[in-house]
Amino acid sequence: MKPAKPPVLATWLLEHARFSTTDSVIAGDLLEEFNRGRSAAWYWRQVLVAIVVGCTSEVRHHRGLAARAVLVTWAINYGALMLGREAMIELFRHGLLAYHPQLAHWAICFLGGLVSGLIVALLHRGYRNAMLLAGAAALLGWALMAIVILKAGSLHHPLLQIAGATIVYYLVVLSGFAIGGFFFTPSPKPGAPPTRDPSPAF
Amino acid sequence: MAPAQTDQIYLRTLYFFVIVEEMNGRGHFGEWELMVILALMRLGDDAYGVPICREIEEQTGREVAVGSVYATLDRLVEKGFVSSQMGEPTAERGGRAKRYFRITPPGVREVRKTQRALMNLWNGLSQLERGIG
Repeated sequence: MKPAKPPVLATWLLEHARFSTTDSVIAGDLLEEFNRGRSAAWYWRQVLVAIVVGCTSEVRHHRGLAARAVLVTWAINYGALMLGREAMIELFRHGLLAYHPQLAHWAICFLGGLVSGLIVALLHRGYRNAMLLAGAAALLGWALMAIVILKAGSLHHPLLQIAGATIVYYLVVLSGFAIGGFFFTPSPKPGAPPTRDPSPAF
Repeated sequence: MAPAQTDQIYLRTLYFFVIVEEMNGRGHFGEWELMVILALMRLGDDAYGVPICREIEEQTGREVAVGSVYATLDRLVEKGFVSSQMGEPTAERGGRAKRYFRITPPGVREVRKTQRALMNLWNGLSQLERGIG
């Protein structure tokens, strides 16, 4: 049986993605079509395409800002990774890290993700969601690159082990990045035009 | 092959590349842009997201993403070929307004230019005339 209302989560996603001023108009169009008998699968497809198209269009329009978001994300997380490594060595040397060194390392990586998400969101308030998605994609690219580099550098470890550790690292950093970016900064109001970006024009 | 015949083939080939090159530039619409703008023209005053998508779907037989149509329309608005205007919010749309689109005089000129270029390409294609596809 066809549901009377369109998928609530899909509508919420579309209205909160906030990539353009037309999000509310698209939501209205999709609702109109859904009421004329389109399926929930069709609705979901349309929402996901609208989000992807909106995000890529936003990134294309602000290439400089997107590049900055990517660089900030990489720099902070690389710093956190190195800091975590150094801190772990120091703590281990002083006998303070006998049991869970990896856990401590992940905690520092999580914090790195959180700080980078927060900074990217604060630097690009007008285009927050698109820039956060660009940062998340950059992190994914970095994780994939890390698998290749680590595999090339350590021939003794099986690929599966390296990939597993990198995926866990990526998920830990991404969780921090999403929490820092989405929850610690105010969300733009659905349907409202984007606020003027305080950063200089590129 | 006679030299005159060779020259003719060379010139025709050159002309083909000139047209294709010109179509890549700012002067002509791409295939998708052209579909959107033609659907918009066919609809006249009632051109907003839903009817535009339905018109393209009916004419091409393939599913259209509303988001892609709006992205294209936004690009056309930026180029000055299309203008847009917000309508009144309606209950049918959950209190959300429609966004109506209309082609501008420069847009009509561009469509004519693209049509002319395409007609030049299509003219004299023996495969199409014989119905081979």
